[in-house]
Amino acid sequence: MNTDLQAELQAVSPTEAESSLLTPDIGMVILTWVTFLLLSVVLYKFAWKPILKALDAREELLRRSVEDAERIKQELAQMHSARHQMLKEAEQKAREIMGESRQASAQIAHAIQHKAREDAKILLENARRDIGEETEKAKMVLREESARIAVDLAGKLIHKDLDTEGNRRLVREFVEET
Amino acid sequence: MSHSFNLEKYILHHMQDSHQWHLPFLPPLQLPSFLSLHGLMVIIAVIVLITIFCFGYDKKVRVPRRFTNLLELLVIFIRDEVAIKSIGEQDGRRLTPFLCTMFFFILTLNLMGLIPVFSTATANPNVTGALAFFTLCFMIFGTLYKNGFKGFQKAFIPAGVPRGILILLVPIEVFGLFIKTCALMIRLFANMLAGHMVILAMLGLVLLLGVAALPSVLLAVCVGVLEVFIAFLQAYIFTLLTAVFIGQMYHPQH
Repeated sequence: MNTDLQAELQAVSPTEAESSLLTPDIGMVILTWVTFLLLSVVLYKFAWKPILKALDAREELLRRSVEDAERIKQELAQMHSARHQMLKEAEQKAREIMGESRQASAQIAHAIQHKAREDAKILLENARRDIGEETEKAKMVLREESARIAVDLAGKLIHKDLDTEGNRRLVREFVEET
Repeated sequence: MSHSFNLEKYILHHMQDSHQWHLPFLPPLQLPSFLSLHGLMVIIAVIVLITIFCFGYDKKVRVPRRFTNLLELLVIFIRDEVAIKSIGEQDGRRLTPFLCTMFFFILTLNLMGLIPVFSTATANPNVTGALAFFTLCFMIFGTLYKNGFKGFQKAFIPAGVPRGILILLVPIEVFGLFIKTCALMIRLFANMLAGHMVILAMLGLVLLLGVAALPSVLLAVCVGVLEVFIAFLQAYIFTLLTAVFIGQMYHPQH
């Protein structure tokens, strides 16, 4: 502790010092007012105004960013579901097309089969009819032949030369009778 | 006994305003008669604050970092938790610059008092009184400007109170206005003064008792840390109460 301070301390009694702690000092008050007002003006112009403005702008930006993010998320979800839907629809359609084509092919196959069967039937009937006709014809020929042979044989047997025309008539009568 | 006498005087001498600035390794700086030590501290605080907020605070950066972030945190806190909550959305935003200036001004003065070279200007009732006067001004003239004379009257004459009681109530309310201001002044002044006195008394024990009192230095360090907290707390309380008082006057029905 230097001597100056000690001398000063000796000069001031504690009660004096204590009272000086609470003495009103109008100069100090005015100095505080002036400096505070000056500080207020300067800081308002150069600090608070831009800072608070920037804070508001940032809060606005943040709010908008969050909203945007939310919106994008929703859109993405929508797109996802739409894609899902489209895929589902495409699958459904493919299945339908496949089913239709299967059905169509089955129909066509059935039709072809049916037609083939019909054709075969017609052919068979034709063949049957032809066979029948041919058989009839052959029977006729056979009958005529056998009649002629019989007439020949009978002529030979009775030695009577019969008129061929009359013979034939006779044979036809026989044949028709039989 | 003479030692204790000297210590008491030393503490009081340290706390009171003077015209000498004791710098380390230098002879005491004699200040002019119009400028006391606390006045010098106030001016230094103003310079520090202007420097910090005009040059240290990066206003262009979109994502604040480090120091700017810290300051911004406090500004947002004052705006949202103090101004808007106590005064309301619109008036709160309008008064935020005033409250921010008050908070940072008091905080700087409080913290400067913890740095050995500087002195605590907020331990001077003239300084705290001058600051509380601004609160009073806002409580009176701010309300007159915002609500008009009728609205101002409403703050003193609550609705639905019988006429007879008003004779008692109105003077109390008016008196309360000044008591609130005085309480603001004394709270800050007394807190800052007491904290420093405790630290000085603990360090003074070393002067009185010598090496045996060394543990009290550790205690003084702890109180010093507490003082840092109190510096923030008192700046916050002063600002919060200013906002609350103004809010009460602006919205008397609540």
